Amino acid sequence: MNLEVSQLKKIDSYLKSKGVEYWDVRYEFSDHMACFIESKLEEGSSFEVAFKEIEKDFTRGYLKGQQEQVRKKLNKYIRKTYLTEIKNSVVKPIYILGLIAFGVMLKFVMESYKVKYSLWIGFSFMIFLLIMILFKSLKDFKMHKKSLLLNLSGTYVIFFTLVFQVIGYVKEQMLTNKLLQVVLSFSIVLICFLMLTWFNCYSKLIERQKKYYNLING
Amino acid sequence: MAKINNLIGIKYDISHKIIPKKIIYINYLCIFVIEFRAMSNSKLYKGSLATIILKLLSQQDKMYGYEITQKVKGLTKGELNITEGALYPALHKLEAEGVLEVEVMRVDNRLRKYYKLTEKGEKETVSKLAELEGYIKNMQVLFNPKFGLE
Repeated sequence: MNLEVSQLKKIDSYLKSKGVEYWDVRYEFSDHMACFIESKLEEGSSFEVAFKEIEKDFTRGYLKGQQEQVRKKLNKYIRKTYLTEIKNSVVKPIYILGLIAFGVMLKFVMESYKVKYSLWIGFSFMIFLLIMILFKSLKDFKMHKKSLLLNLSGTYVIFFTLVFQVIGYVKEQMLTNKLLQVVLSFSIVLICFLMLTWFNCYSKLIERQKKYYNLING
Repeated sequence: MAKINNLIGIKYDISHKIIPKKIIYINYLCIFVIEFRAMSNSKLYKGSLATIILKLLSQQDKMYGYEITQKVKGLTKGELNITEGALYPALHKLEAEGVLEVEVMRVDNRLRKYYKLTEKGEKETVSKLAELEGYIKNMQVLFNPKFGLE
């Protein structure tokens, strides 16, 4: 015996009221509760009685704890997905060629113009990616805002921006040495590469969540 | 031990080594499940829930959370009740480790998250079951139970 849409909405509202704010955490618990209620309905019980019974197991404390558990596991999942993306990108010839070309260009800018200009090039590239990420987030704002996976993924962007700021403190006078200039070029290229792979990884996570979100609203 | 034999419905002497491995595995799982229930607070058994999940998923293409709880309940005739509080963290941990992969489908107007073994998960199942086999054998040596001889 399947539950009606209104009954499913009641379960969803209950979970929301108990603090499970993210839809990508809620739907699994919602299905579990619905399965339990359906089995009770088959035994002859009513929806209200079955709901009250399962309500005892899904208390606020329990659900909050579960959401916290999911948060920890998702962080691990994101890191793993990102590392896989880096591994896959490193072996792509287009990436290798692109990185070498970018590095050579930065070195040329350092030698022909000011060292700081190379930092600006790297910074502009990162800003471009940040705008793209922001654009992707805003495009499906409702889906993004209420997804725990996407919320956690977004915080990684802050990390890269902070790392790049450290490079920004490098003074012109500190880079008279040729070796230091190469190190700086390499650092800029590396951070831009990490940011680019992150952007690809983030786009894939968004696509995945979007597919599920559309299934819910389908 | 009589309880275990009754649960499986057979009597045998493990020392003859003529019993199919599948039956031995089922027996191990049942012994383990009973001990798991009896010593649910023990750290040793808490960490073994993953083995049960992997074993069940190795027998079926994909399963969802509620289905796993019901399957365990059915197999053990209600002896073991896996709570949601224990099941979902274990499932999410296995997913994060890459042992399980998920497939989300729309079923009866709602989303259902199915779990299935990855390639890594299949290897993990074999090693976990071998680990369990070793554990049970050691327990047998330590406590010297006699299977089906009463």
